[in-house]
Amino acid sequence: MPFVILSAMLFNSLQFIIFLPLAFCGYWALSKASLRWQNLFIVAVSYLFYGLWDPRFLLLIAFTSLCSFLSGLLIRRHTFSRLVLWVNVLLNLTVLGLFKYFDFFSLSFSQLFGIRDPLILHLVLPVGISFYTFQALSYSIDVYRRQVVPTTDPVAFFAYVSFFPQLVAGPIERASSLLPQFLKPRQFQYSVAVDGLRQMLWGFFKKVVVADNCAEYVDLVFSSPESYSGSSLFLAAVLFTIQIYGDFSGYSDIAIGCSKLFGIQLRRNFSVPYFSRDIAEFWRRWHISLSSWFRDYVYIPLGGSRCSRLKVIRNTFIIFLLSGFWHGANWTFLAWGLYHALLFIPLILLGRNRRFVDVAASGRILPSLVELFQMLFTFILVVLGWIIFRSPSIGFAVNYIAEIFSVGLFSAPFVHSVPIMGVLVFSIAVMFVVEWVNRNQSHTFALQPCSRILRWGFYIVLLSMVLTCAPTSEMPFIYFQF
Amino acid sequence: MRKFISKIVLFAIVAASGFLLWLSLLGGTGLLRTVNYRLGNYGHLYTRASEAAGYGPVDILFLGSSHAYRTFDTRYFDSLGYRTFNLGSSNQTPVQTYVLLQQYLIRLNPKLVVFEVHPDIMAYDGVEGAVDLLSNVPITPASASMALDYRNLKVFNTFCYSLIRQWFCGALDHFEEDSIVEGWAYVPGGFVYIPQEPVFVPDSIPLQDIQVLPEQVQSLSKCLDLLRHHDIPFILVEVPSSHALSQSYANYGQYTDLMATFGPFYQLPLLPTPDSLYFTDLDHLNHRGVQIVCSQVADLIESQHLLAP
Repeated sequence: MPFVILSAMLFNSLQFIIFLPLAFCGYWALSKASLRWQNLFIVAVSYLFYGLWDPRFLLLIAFTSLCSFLSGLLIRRHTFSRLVLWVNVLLNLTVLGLFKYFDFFSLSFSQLFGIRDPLILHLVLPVGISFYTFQALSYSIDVYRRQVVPTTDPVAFFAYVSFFPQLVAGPIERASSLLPQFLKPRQFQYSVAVDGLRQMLWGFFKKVVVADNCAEYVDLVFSSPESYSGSSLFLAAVLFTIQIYGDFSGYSDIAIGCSKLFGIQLRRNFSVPYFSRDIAEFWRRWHISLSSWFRDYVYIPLGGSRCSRLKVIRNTFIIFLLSGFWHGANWTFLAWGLYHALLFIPLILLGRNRRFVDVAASGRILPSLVELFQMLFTFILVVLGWIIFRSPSIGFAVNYIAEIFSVGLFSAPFVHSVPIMGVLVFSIAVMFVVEWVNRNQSHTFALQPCSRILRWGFYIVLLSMVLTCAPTSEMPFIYFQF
Repeated sequence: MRKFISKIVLFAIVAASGFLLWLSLLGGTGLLRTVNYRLGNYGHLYTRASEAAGYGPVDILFLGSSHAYRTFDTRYFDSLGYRTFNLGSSNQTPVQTYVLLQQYLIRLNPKLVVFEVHPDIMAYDGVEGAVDLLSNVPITPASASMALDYRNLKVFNTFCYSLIRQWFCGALDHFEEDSIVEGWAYVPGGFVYIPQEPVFVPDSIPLQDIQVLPEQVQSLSKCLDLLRHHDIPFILVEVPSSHALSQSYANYGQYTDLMATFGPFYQLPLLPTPDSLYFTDLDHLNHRGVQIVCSQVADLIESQHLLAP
């Protein structure tokens, strides 16, 4: 039928629902052939998955993979290993910079110096370039540091860089944990596969029901904030906070769950960040794979927190600004990074940045009043940060925040549709309750043993909500643009 | 692996049953965004389909979207001595027309089919027309096939809910369709009468390309093949749109060339300016416009001898 066209394969698309079982069957059918064939199959389906966006960019992934693979082999020879590492890092960052940041710098530079016709390339940003570039870079750095033995198996390495569940939006994996999984035979494990499906279902619920329904209200208000009251602006900011979490952690859950179907374990990317009691804890729980990347490859090499106070402040600024800039070429992302750095630095200077290592209300069902206040306060700080992140310009963000703190904050917020808002509030409540109950588990939908009727009943309700409560248009994942 | 697959199959069966239960409990509450079941709609498809089921052979059958059921006034043609039926419906694209033809063509057995084709409809996926049809017309294998072919959640869920309503609640058996829009009235034979003529002031529309969808082209061909199979002559007619809309189509020539490849294609002439004299909106005629266009169609049928004596 012509109704289905060959196009970008989002996790929340019919194409993916057809693609996944086929890939699953083909993959396990090859498990009896050889490991290399199985890895080759992973590379083939991953390239197909990515190529449906734009086949031209397959060359880019192949180039990134090849550079990092060869650099690993050359670094192992110990001759010019430092030079090889730097060449590889520069090559990868040049490609990333060219596609993602060139126009931004060119435009900013020309504005600063009054140049009339800046050189603008208008390049299309390849989906997921920031994710797979960082993943490939971590390999060569780890080989240089002798934390990883370089592989001589190009197929396994290409599978490591391009593994489709996490190719376009992470989690950003480390060679030390993911690459060895491609070098040894995988065994199908029933419990792991079932857990994977469960985690995927939870991810779909967070993405399709929670995030996409939030997005409608958020897009409406952010498109013309001057038309709405302070309370509506605040509600939209809160909903964006929930949207970006549902969207990105939902993607991560689908990616991790999907990987489990293939016998591959990916690292956790979110650990109930909105139950954090201060900003430092938030950053240990939000986009963990990126935060830890910057920690291990930038912050610690710069001296981390074991140096003078001035350097600690400098290092903190650097990683937060880099983290902001990683999201995109816009001053708002830098401002967002700066905002979080300013919130983080007092904690690190006072030695209070590791005050909350365990989850909130550990060993208890409900949090204390103090914990509740700490969580709410941190949440509000994070909401303000997301306003900067979501805004098209810094001026827009300043006006938006100023309007929130006006008399309009005490008026009734605008509601575009009572039934839609009702379903949204209910689904947000379900998400937070389930995540609170499971905050100690390996993922937030790792249900405690209970009767099958209860479990399946809950799965069916979630599945039915995914199929019936989503907006009618297919919405892409926010983090694909990064 | 065997255990995994058998559990998946078992869960799929239980989940499908649970999903149908979920739909039957909540489908009519308005809480489910991808269920758009509306028994009784402003296009009066329920009444039209019910009437068509008991209607005898006709001279002229009109097909198409709201441009058809709001333009081809069956009373006018009846007054000329023709027996006519208007099977148009809201947002009806050729995909839906094909389903309706399979259901009603033999019973209506027309001597001539006037098939209204509008550029915007040929460029539209027809999701709204599909859910209107699924809600208001008895479900048949043809409409089920259409629902599945769409691969669209809204169409699929509405189909499932409608099936439950029709099979288990006899939804179509005990329904009286009222007018949703005040003053709109269904006229036996399929035309919808709209009394008010609000003053229409058209905005200028930026240039746009008509992007005819392949599935509409394919369905239009299937409709015409079906008519040919039954030896029923047909004409394709484009009802005039406002000047504001007509002038916005950048590739209108390509569109008319494409339509002409399907068979006899008639573009009814644009009505004089200003648009406010003959239109209620960009593409729907008011009473004055309807009268002019109906007489143009009647003249066309007569002058071209399209109806055998």
